[in-house]
Amino acid sequence: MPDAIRIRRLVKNFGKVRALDQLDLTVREGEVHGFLGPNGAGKSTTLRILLGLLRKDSGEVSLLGGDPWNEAVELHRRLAYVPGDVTLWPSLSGGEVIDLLGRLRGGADAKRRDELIERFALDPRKKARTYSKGNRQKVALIAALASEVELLLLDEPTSGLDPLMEAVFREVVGEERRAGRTVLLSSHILAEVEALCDRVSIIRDGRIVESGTLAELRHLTRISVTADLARVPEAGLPHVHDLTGEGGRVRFQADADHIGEVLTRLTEYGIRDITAQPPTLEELFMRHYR
Amino acid sequence: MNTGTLIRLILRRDRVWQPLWILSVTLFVAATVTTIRELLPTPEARRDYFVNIIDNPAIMLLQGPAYGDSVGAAAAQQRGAATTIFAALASILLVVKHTRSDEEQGRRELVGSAAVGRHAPLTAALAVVLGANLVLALLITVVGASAGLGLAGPLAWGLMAASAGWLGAGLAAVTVQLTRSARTAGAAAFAVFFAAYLVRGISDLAGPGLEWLGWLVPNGWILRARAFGAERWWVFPLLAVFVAALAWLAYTLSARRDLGGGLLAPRLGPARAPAALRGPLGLAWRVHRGAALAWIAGAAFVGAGLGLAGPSVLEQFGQSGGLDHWARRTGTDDPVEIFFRLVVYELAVFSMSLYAIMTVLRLRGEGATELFLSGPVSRARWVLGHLAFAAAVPGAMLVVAGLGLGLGSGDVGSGLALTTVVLPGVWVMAGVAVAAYGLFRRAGTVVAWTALALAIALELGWELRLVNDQVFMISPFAHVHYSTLADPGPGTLLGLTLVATAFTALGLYGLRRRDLTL
Repeated sequence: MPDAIRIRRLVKNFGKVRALDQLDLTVREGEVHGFLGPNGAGKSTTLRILLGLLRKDSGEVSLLGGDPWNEAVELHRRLAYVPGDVTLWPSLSGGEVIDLLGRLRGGADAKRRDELIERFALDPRKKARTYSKGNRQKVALIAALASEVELLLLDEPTSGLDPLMEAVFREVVGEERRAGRTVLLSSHILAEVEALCDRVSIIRDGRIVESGTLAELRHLTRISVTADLARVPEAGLPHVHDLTGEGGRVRFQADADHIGEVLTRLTEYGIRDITAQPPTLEELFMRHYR
Repeated sequence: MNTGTLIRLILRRDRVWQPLWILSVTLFVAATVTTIRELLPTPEARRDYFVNIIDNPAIMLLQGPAYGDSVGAAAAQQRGAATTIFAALASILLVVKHTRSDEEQGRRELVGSAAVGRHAPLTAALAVVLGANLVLALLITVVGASAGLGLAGPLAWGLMAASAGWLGAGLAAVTVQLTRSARTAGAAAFAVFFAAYLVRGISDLAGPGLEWLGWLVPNGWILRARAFGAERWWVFPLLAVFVAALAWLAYTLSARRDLGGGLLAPRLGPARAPAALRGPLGLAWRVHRGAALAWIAGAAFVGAGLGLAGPSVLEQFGQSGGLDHWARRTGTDDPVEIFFRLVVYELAVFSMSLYAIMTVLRLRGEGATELFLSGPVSRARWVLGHLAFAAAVPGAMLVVAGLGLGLGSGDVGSGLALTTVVLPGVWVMAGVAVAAYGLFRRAGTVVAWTALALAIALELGWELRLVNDQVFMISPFAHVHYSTLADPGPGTLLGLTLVATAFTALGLYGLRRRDLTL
């Protein structure tokens, strides 16, 4: 399957500050891709380069098969974007903003628009100046989701939404995925990414430090095991790390691709009880930031 | 509580702007004194001049009477009213910026969550305005005194400007409580100030019979302080009481409303966009229409006023002796006509340029740019949407002003010709603003305003004979000038339009190549 987004060795400097440092990112067509990283890691900069708002210093960037800087206008017909910090025109109502943005892309689906306004519980008659952050975000989200585009670029779209609206957001993104749309979802809400995304990329200091499906990422890492054993094993078992414990109760980390061997060895010590947990996304994420 | 910290914050945020406006007004006063010395050198000349303007409606409406025949009295008559308007405008902007704008943009919430009293931001803004206007009063006094105008007169003038600033600040302190929009609050405060100013003008225009009308509005008290005459010092305490009352009203209103809210409930808008709201042009219309209509109405009003006041009245004015040699320098022997042309030209060229530059620079302040340009809209189309208004609205203003002028004076053709001729010059300034925005990221605003300031400086320099004709021709306005220096035939106008287009193209080229500041 072709790639919706393909970034290789992307570099972007702001003065002396290197915001993106040899960044690689691939988003396949039809997938929901989680773009994870803390504030200031370079997520918004990457998205703005993809939108042609910022100019890359070096590297290759391909978006829907085109060049985001030189072919911005044509490419923007095929995508929609929700900024991380949504600013609207203060004197326009929410409904007007949604229609204006829809018409730019040749007219949004009116039925879908009304349905989304209903589901996100937005009052479209209020002037943008009176909306809270969450409501401004809803306006941008509805405008993006109601347009019939191939690719959605969402920059921390739920950071101002309440838990109810976050649930609606997850539902809607699920529908978008089933409809075959590609989504690049930048976030630092790990539960959201875990629930929605097919693949994730973790960015740190302008570089991608991990990328793949959740299963792949887990595979590369370790499984935490807690066991109640008849005898305490000696240190130095192969593929076992960070062994701690007292009495028969032990905790350790095991290499994911050797978990079978480890469990076989463990039976020698008389297993009374055992739990093995794959790492959560949070653990994967924290590993890069500790 | 913690008002002192907030005052330091305001001083830090405004460390360039505050000294700039105070110094500009001071220099304006100094330049006026020099000009009067040059144009009306003797007491006789000044007396003649005053006898004539007593009958001149436009002058009475906008400036008011003179209170003596000294150089100071003449300068205060000419520019005293203008200094009050500048001081009020700057003070209104300051109060709005540090109260309602902060609330509108959420900064107030950040401050409010710290250990800061509910009214602290308002108190801090008012304290800074109080101080800034005191500095202004002091500087005007020093400048006037060192120009040999004595002490009392310059002090009275300084206090007039300062009290107008305080009045503006008091009005703004109230309007920011009423509406949620900083823009609306500022416009409302200035509208009230300017309306009161015109009430005073109508009173002066009508003569002694309606003198009481001017005493009804605080602007009347200020302008009747009789600087350089028998000064009425008591108007200043009276004004202080009035401003204190406004401040009390502001605090009372502020205590009754929510943070971020206003006393006037915001109106709801349409749930669906009207058909016209599509694309960059439709958006620019929505963003600019309110201001554009107000400016056009103002232009019609000023044009009709000038037309009615008309050359017939200016005739007396023009015959005051001091203008003759000046008229000859501008290349004509008819001081009446040339003076009329000068007034029209100055009003047209500088206010239109002000509008055009402000409109172009809205590009920078428009926060929704990121969202808009994520749609299939090129940067050029987005800029041109705004530029269309920066170019067309001055055209509309000049046409209605010309019509008003023509209908008032009875000669529509020459009224229109007089105003519309400056349009290509204004376009050059709009083009320069686009170039400044496109080529420079943050400095664009400063560059654009500096270009206008330079044009004004060249104009003043030329009037004062510090700048010769050749140098003056750098300014686009020299080519549409009221004097015979300019030959605004079709070739010149086309040339200016091409220059404007070239600057615009340069700006679009620069913008196409740079990062957007979001």
